[in-house]
Amino acid sequence: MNRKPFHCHPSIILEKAGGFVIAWLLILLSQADEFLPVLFSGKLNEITLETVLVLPVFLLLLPGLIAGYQFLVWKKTWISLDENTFIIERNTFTRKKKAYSISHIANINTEQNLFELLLHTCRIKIDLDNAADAESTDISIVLSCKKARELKTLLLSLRQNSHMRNPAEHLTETDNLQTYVSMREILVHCVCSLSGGFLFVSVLMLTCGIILLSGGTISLEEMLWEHKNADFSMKILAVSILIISYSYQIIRRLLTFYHFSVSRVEDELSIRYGFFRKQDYMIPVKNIHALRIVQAPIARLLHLYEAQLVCIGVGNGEEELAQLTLCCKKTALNKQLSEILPEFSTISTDALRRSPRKSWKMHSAAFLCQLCGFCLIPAGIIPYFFQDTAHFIPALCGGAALFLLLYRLLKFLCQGYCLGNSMVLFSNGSFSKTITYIPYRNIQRLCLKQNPLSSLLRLQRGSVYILASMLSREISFPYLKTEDVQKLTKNMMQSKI
Amino acid sequence: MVFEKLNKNALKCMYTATGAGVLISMAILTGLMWYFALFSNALLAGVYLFAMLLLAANAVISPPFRYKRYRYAINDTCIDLREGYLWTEEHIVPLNRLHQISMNQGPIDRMYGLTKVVVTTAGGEVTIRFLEYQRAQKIADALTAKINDLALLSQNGGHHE
Repeated sequence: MNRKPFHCHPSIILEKAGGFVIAWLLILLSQADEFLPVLFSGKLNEITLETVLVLPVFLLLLPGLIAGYQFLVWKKTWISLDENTFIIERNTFTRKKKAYSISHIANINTEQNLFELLLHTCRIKIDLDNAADAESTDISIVLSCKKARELKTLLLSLRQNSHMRNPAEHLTETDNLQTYVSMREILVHCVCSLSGGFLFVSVLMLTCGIILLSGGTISLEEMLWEHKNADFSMKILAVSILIISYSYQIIRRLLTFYHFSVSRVEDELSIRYGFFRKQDYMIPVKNIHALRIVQAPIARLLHLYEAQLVCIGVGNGEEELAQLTLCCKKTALNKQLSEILPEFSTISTDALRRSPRKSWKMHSAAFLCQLCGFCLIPAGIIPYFFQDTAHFIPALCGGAALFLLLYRLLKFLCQGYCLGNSMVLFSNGSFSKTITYIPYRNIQRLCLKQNPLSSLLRLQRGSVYILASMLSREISFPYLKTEDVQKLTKNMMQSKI
Repeated sequence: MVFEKLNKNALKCMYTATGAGVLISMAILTGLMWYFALFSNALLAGVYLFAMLLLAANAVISPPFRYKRYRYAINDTCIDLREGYLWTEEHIVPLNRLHQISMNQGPIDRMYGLTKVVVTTAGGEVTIRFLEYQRAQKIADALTAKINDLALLSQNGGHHE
């Protein structure tokens, strides 16, 4: 690829202006029933000249203006490479020039949505290894697939300072190693990795649906074909919408992981997946700051595990998932980890130790506080304001108390830790369980917390902070004995970056 | 590790900041009670009075405890900061993880000639509060020098020239 300044692919104009034009058309169509009768009524003379002239001109001009502005932005934006700097220069109404150091590029990913798939273009997303922009992608440009491949190869080779291998070789090597997971595995993953919150809401919705439907006194057949109860048909419609929306969630996840593949070439991981939205990540292993082994509630029941990466640049958005493996058995997970990411497979999850037994006292105290806050006080206050609710308050509060007890018990059982030589493992969760592997050298700082009771029991809990997006930056650890906290601190201090 | 304690102005600053916070909370609570005409309800009026007492007690009791608990230490390897009242926190920041040092002064800090030193790592920041300006300056300079030393050391492959 030559190093002359270049533009993004022109399709970006359509992509950026298209969203607005579609929204504008929808608004226009929704108002059509009001202005079309006026236009065809033959009473145009009665309408003032301003309305006749200004409104259509404005309506036609606005999308044109938006498209024109996007064309100007495209025409006046130049992308170039200057030695070890990636430069984006925009010279529209304002002048902006951003220079990014290529040596600070954390990863270069490509992504294709349906529109880009049809036009044979793709989006290159570049992330830098700084904490300030950890929440979002730093650079996002649309290029033709060929040009995007060339640019990616060039940037990768510049980043690695061409010290090892030919970049062209690199891509072929990656392609050869790709092994895709089967549709069955994706389906298992989609069902088993449903989060606790999603399942809770689903159960709640299902209960609501049953209650709604049980309110009817006629059969479904009568309601559907004889229209005896319009109200009941509305309930059926509501339940159907719920079922369809939840089915859509599952299908969407299924398509997200379509053609999921992970491979490793030397010190980089290549992760690819997606059907309508194709994602292709290249993640240097040194940029992986932690590894998460996650067990969602269904996966826990079936003894399945999935692995996710914590690193800058991947996993920032809802559509971006730093997935390393899909749900699989423990032996399969360990095998995959030792092949793909041996750096993180030096300690097995079997080495995890439970939190000190006396930490149960802390959980008991927390349970009592929650019991007061969520059950006893509301049980006393609600009937005071709403007298007619008195009969079902005991059942509701009893149910909530049982749920809290189960939650605390599971939380206590999930908590664990292991202080290895090069990394630390923390296990957290309640209905879901997450085990996090963190190399000591990636811990940026440590925060220890104590309350009067834990101080009395000589226990400390807290968080370690790593370089990651806002949601993944803080990794909390369970109650530990003071000696273990000292060991953790010592290991963190002695590790070199 | 030798921990440094704060000077007397820090206590005054804590009293002023907590007092201001408590007064604002009281005003909001009273405004809400008055706006929704909840004073007529005996139970809620009782809860309101209890909350007011708690807030007032917090304004009087918490600053001396926080002042007594607040301490920090900076040595060759890390910054250790301890703070809190009933719930205490200890922040440990290894010096080789530091990215940036900055000094900040809020309006209440300025009243008492105090300054904050904010140390930033790739995993967020930690603030050493209630420092006299001269001392804060000294700490910031020392930490900046330390960052530079460590950067040079890592460039030279871990060996001093």
